[in-house]
Amino acid sequence: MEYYDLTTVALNCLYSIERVLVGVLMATVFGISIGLLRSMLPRKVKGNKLIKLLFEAPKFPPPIAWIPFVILFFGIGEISAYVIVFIGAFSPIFTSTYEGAESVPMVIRNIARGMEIKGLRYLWKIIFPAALPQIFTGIRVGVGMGWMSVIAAEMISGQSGLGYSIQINRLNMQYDLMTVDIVLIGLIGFLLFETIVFLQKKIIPWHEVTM
Amino acid sequence: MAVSRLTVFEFRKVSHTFGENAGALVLEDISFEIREGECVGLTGPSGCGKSTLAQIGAGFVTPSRGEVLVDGRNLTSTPSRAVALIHQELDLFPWLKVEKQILFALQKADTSRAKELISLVKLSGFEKYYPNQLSGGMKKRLALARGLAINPKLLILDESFSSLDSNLKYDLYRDLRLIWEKTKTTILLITHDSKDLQSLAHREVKLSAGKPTRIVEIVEMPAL
Repeated sequence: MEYYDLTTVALNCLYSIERVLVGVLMATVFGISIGLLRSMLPRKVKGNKLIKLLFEAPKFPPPIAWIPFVILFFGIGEISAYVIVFIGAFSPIFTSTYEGAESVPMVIRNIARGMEIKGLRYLWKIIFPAALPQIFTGIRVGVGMGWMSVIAAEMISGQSGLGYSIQINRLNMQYDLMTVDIVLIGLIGFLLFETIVFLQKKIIPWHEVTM
Repeated sequence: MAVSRLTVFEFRKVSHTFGENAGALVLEDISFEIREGECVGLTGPSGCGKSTLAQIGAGFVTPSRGEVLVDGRNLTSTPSRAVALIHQELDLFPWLKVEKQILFALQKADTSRAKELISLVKLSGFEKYYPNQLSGGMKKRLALARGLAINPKLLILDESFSSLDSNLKYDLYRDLRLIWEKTKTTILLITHDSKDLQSLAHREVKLSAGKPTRIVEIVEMPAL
């Protein structure tokens, strides 16, 4: 452990955290927007198998499979890291938003229709808040996926971050430092998850969270 | 208590079939009108199609035949602020506090009107509570205030208090009577129990038990 440099470890943590936050934020904005818009498609379009395929199939390849293409398009650097996190976090957030919007109870929809609330106002004032509990579930899963993705991306093509640190320590056969990295990845992942739970309790206090 | 002779709401020859291709006929030839300021009770056994009729009245369900007229306008399958329906199950927006719930239903944000309605349903002091922080009876009161905030031509209460214990239910019916006296809102009160209508309804529309459901008779209630 004589090589243990606290500053380097802290910087690696911060790099990874910054990447995951940026990527998850982008995935949250796009995942919620596209998920809500998908829910507004006419019933016939939503039920179309080809449309379902277009929305559902891209979420099955793991984020790590996209890394070569992402590097090809965005090069090695921060943008690629953000995009990999985005790919990892987008699907759970998008899917939860869509499913949350689709499962808004008919009585709630009817009350809104009876108040003549339509279009974007209906989406923003009724469907979005009603879907928020499921959206937060998606964000929690998305943060986990994003965190795993950024570590994988840093291991393959990173020049900083905890994933990169693991790779360097592996090459130098410093398994003690690798262990430190892995423990930090677990702790930070847990903190990110708890942060989302905290935000959920603050933003939707009307919804009981049991965790 | 005198009621206007002006008809504000009418079911005209409404029939409804469930299922495609001439499925089961559940409602047949239902016709009756409701006058301005009147409280009409609609009774019938469970499962006879009362809630379906309420949904048709509010424009949420398209009848197989017939029309729904509000102030003479055909509003069949057109949900609008002209008819407010308070459902049997909980239909409050869980993310809005009591006051916001009322403000949201008002066409123009008017805090004093919201306070007035909250006071009318005896929820003063609970303005900052979420629905899940209220008791069952309070939730029903809030739903009632929200229905009034819409300022509808007709307020339909579809077994709205039936999930409550009998004491609470009759408290609410008593309060509903007081609210009606103050607001003169036109009400269609749907219930399976005719006793719920005592000292509240001007007329009772009785539906039959068999399928399809028809109107058995329309009874004038003792003067209020």
